[in-house]
Amino acid sequence: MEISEIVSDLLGNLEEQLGDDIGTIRTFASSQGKKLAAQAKLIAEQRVAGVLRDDDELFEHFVQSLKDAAENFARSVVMLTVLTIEKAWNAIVNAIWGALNGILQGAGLPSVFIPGPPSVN
Amino acid sequence: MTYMLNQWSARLCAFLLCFVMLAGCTVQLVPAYDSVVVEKLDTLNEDTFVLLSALENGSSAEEFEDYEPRYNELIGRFDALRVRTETRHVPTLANRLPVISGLELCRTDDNPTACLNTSPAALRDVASQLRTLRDRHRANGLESGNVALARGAIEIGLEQATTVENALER
Repeated sequence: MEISEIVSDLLGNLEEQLGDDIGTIRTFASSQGKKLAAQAKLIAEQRVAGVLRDDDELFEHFVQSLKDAAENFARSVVMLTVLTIEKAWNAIVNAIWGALNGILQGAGLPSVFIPGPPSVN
Repeated sequence: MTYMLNQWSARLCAFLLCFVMLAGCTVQLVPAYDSVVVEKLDTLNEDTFVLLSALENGSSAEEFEDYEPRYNELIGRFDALRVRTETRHVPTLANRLPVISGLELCRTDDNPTACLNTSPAALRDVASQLRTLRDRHRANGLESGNVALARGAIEIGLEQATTVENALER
């Protein structure tokens, strides 16, 4: 297999994988955004004329819970993004360097050097 | 014969070296997929919404006894699942990624892996909502507003945990 074919196949697979992952993150973010907004609206309504009107403790509980949930939503988006980075890196390492070494070994040559983990400093 | 053996050994060593190097340079940045967590989440999701549906029109304090075992069971199961996700191995390499290290949100002193394992916080909040609902039910009974508020918060937490845990299946 030519190197250009390997690269082309890899990029195609990578594009498909990243597209799926970004789709997951987009769907999740959209759904969470709607749910968080609906919860904020419900808290406001219940504070004005509902079970939270004369209940400061319960009101504080739901406001704090909304704040925590919004932060954990943002952290979850970061986590899903890091997972996508992991998949992209591993796909490149496994496909490109595996294919290159396969070609070199097939020709009876020593394998090419393998890159270490990505520099993240 | 000796020459052939040496050549075979050299090829085997080259293959093993290649395998070790190749395996060693793939990375894992977030926890491994845990099918038990996903299965338990699915069941808990269903059981929680069955309870919330039964309560959605409100319920008096006198009726609390009928529901108490269901509250306690759900809270216990959510806490057990939280502990399972909290105590699993979380790789720390990703803490050096700019996407994480640059975010104030992820630099919490008490939890250095806050952005790499988000399900425990989501599950803690769900259990907290059920505790609050249970205690209100026991003390004053529930109006539909109490249940709607708890339901909204629980849906958010369950969606976070379910999405993340399913995504971990590479």
